[in-house]
Amino acid sequence: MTKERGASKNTIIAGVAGAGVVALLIAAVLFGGSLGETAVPIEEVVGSPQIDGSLPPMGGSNVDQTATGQEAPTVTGTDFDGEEVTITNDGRPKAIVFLAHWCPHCQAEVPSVQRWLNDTGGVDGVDMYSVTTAVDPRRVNYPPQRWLEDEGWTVPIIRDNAASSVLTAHGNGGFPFWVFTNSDGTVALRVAGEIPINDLEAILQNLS
Amino acid sequence: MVVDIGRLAVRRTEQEEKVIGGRNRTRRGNAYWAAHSTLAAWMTFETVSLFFALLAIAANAVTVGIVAIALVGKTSAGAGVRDQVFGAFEGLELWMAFVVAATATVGSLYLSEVVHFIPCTLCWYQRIAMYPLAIILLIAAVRRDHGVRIYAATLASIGAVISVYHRLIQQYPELEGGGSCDPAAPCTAAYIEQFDFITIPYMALSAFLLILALLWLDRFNKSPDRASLAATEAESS
Repeated sequence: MTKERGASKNTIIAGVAGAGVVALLIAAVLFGGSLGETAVPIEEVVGSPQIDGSLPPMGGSNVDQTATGQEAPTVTGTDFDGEEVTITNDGRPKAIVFLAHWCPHCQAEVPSVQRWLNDTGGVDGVDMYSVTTAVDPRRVNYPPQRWLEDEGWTVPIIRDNAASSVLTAHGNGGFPFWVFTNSDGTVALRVAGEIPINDLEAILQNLS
Repeated sequence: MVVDIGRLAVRRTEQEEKVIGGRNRTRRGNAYWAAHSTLAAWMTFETVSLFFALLAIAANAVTVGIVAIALVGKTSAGAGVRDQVFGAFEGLELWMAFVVAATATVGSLYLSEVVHFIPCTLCWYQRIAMYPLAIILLIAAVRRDHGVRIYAATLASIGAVISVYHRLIQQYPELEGGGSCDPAAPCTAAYIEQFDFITIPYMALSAFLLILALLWLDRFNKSPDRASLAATEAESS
């Protein structure tokens, strides 16, 4: 009798737990697509940039000089408004920052750099570019254009393709990934990770 | 260079070196979802991640419920309620703990093997704690071996501590040091974020805490006081 009561009790508990899980599943099916913001197709986020040239992969440190002196790739792509943007050897030193929308360090670096640009206007004679890359619609802070717009990002943007080819051509460092080039189009330095503004300013001022 | 680049230098992880493979694998994940988009139209990734988040909230609710009833039971008025509620689950504790561990294990495998999210280093440490729990709790539940509590609680506690740290560095990436995201699988970047706070390590933490609560419940229901109470109840009925 006691065993029967125990079995009955266990059946009730299992039934209630199962019903609870089914209810959660139904709620997820009903609301799974509507709680998040409207999905933007990845085709609207990635581009089809043309790339000429490549650099070796980053070395073992987040500050890398293995590509120093090598000619930087030429990249022609479009920003989120469809405007053409080209990074080429035009006789001016450059800073290119690769940004991944899901990376918290990029999310910290963007407002920091933008504040500095708003306050100082940047370093005279040095052009800055950004590349949105490693796009993944399943991950947080998607799509990147919404994020960069919210941050008031004024640096010209090139949309990398779905395979992150522009990133790979520059050596594929940890995010944010900075590539600095001299006025002769050669690489001065590559840095993976956030750069304190004082250090960034010093690097830019020392590009030849 | 004026800037001391050595000061910025931090060793990159081995995973960063494997970025090419990681990128390809992510692309395979996208291709998988594109190919199965029709079949899985009603069970999208958003649906599944929301389901996991709701399960985590349910786990939190049960854990808080167990703790609250245990605290209420410390009062003379609440002891009866506690014994009645906890007593209803007597004999099921290890089975419930197994179900929690198994669900977490299946969910973790779904995210890596179906969605093709690449587990980061801390994810792997939490897996090391969670996966054996599913196996040893099942064996213990079948054999009614309550001695498993010490082993399971140790694993769950270690896993919970790692989950807390993982969730913290997602919220405050500067705690990790280094200042960069591994291109393949950074621990600081969240794959999933539901309700602005539920991420994968939060889900894992919810599971570890519920397992600990259930193991405690098993201990409570098997304690001499509880046993004598049950005997008294049986006699009176």
